Amino acid sequence: MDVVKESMLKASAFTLVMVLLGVLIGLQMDSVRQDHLSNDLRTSNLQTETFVALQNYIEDSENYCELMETRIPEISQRSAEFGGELRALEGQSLGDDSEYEYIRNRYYNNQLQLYSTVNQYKDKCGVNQTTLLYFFDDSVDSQRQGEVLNEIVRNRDVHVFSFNSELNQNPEARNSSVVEVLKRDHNITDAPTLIVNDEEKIEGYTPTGVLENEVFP
Amino acid sequence: MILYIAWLLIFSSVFLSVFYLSIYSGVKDRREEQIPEFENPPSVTILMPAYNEEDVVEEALDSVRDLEYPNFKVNFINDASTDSTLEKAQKYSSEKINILEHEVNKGKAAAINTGLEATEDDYIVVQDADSKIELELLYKAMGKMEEDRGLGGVIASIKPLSAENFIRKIQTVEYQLTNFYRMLMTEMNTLNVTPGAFSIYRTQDVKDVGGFDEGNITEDMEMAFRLRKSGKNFEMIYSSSSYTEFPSTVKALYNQRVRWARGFIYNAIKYREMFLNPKYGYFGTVQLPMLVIMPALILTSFLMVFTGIMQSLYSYFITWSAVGFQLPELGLDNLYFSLISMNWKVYVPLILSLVIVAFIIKTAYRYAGEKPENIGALMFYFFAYFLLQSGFWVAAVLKEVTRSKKVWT
Repeated sequence: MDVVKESMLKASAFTLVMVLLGVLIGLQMDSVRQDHLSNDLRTSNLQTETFVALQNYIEDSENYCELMETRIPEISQRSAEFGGELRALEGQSLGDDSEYEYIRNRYYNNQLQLYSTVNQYKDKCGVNQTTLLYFFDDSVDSQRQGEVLNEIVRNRDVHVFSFNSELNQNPEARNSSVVEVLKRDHNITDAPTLIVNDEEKIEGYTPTGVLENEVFP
Repeated sequence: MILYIAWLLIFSSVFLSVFYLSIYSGVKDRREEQIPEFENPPSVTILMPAYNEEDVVEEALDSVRDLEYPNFKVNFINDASTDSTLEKAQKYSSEKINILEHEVNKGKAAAINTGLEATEDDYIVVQDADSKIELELLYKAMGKMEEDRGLGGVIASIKPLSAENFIRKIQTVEYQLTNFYRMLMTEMNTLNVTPGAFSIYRTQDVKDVGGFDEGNITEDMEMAFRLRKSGKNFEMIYSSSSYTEFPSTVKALYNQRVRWARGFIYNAIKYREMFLNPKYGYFGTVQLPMLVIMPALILTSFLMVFTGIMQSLYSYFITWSAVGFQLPELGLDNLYFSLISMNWKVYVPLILSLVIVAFIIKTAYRYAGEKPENIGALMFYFFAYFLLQSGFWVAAVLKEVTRSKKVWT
């Protein structure tokens, strides 16, 4: 065999190895990301479950409001951070998306549980704390709205619970019944949409100033 | 989609790099070549076309005047220069150096043909007026031509006459690699160009194929394609060099490279039947397709970088339009998250392919027995030169599409 043909074969073999290496590393990194999210989700879920269990146990205690006041911001912030990580990492997936779907659905369960608990705390302790249900999709307006909400969360005492409203339009996706129910209850037809304190609905992109005026008049 | 384009780009680059490294592993050492001795040295005419070369013409004529080859002359062709090229050249007029003139500017190929018509010597050497050659190069090239009658031409490695500014230093790195690749192409018998800095041909071969193509802005490449088509091969002398003036400004480099790229497009279309045609050996089945793939890879790389930058800017714009300027968050947690959220399935093959390319550059320098003189130029060549190259190719394609006027610059 002449040197050119031999070199072609060597280069093809080496390139094939590189392709396989790239795929293997991609799959391995998917696994690392999923492990990272799973660990974080486990921690977040445990915090929420502990929180709910404590809430049920001390529901009638006079320390209830004090305890809730200290725990809610911490858990809420952790949950919001996890949502950001999930959005960033699931887009990098190379292989099967089912693991991400499972994590996402568990996360939405966690969000709803937390949302209910915060509302309960507000009712019981008479606290004037703002909760926002945020339904987003992949649009530019949703991306901008996400930045606005990050800014507001940094500066105001507000809890944001975010849900991807686009997911359920994909017939192949494993639908989260949590998102389905929330969308139906609040008649969500477009994104971004915000539900303020389970009452007021704001549709479309809303800049920081306008949103602050609406939510914190 | 972007992932698949990135992979195609990276793996094509890996394939080509490994392919050339494999060729290199079996290459014969061309760094030490004997200077042949002739009982009756064949006659040779050096054809030196010139257009507005007043800054370098004296140096070029000095170098050929002092060649101690017993049987040569120089046909210097002034292609209606508008500066003092002719006045300076006329001072060298002698029995050995003929000064020929064009009343009107006809282009480089026409100037070479004027010199070709005025000689009956065995060989012609085409040497630009901004280039210098060494005596031993002439002997070695002549030796190869005499030894192998199937050779259509011999070229030399190219080095800078001077590399005092950054643009020339970058090209010095580029030519180090070009010389290395041409040496490998000699091994594969796929050389596709006979550069104006130094190329030697049999006079009769060139006359038989009708001389240089006067409508062509890369007449050297066209001649190589035409001689290849007529069944001739080419060789390169690696151990001796021709020294040429590299463009010293981005504009001059742009003009030269856009001309080369347009010349390639024109010649590729003109000789399209040679592509993938086994009749022309690896020149047709390997080299010509590679000549198309390489600029396609360069352009794709540019588009990838451009897309990446645009996406980052777009993302920044979205943030800015929503909440104004934001500094990125720092810290170990963010570092870990940034690391795992990186697109490793692209970065790992990309880093490996860069390592292979770096290894080829190192190998090219080691083979030449040299070390990079300017690390900045080397780094620029390694990381950013493809951006310039893709700009040249985009300009060339646009100019071809819009049929912009072709000029000898």
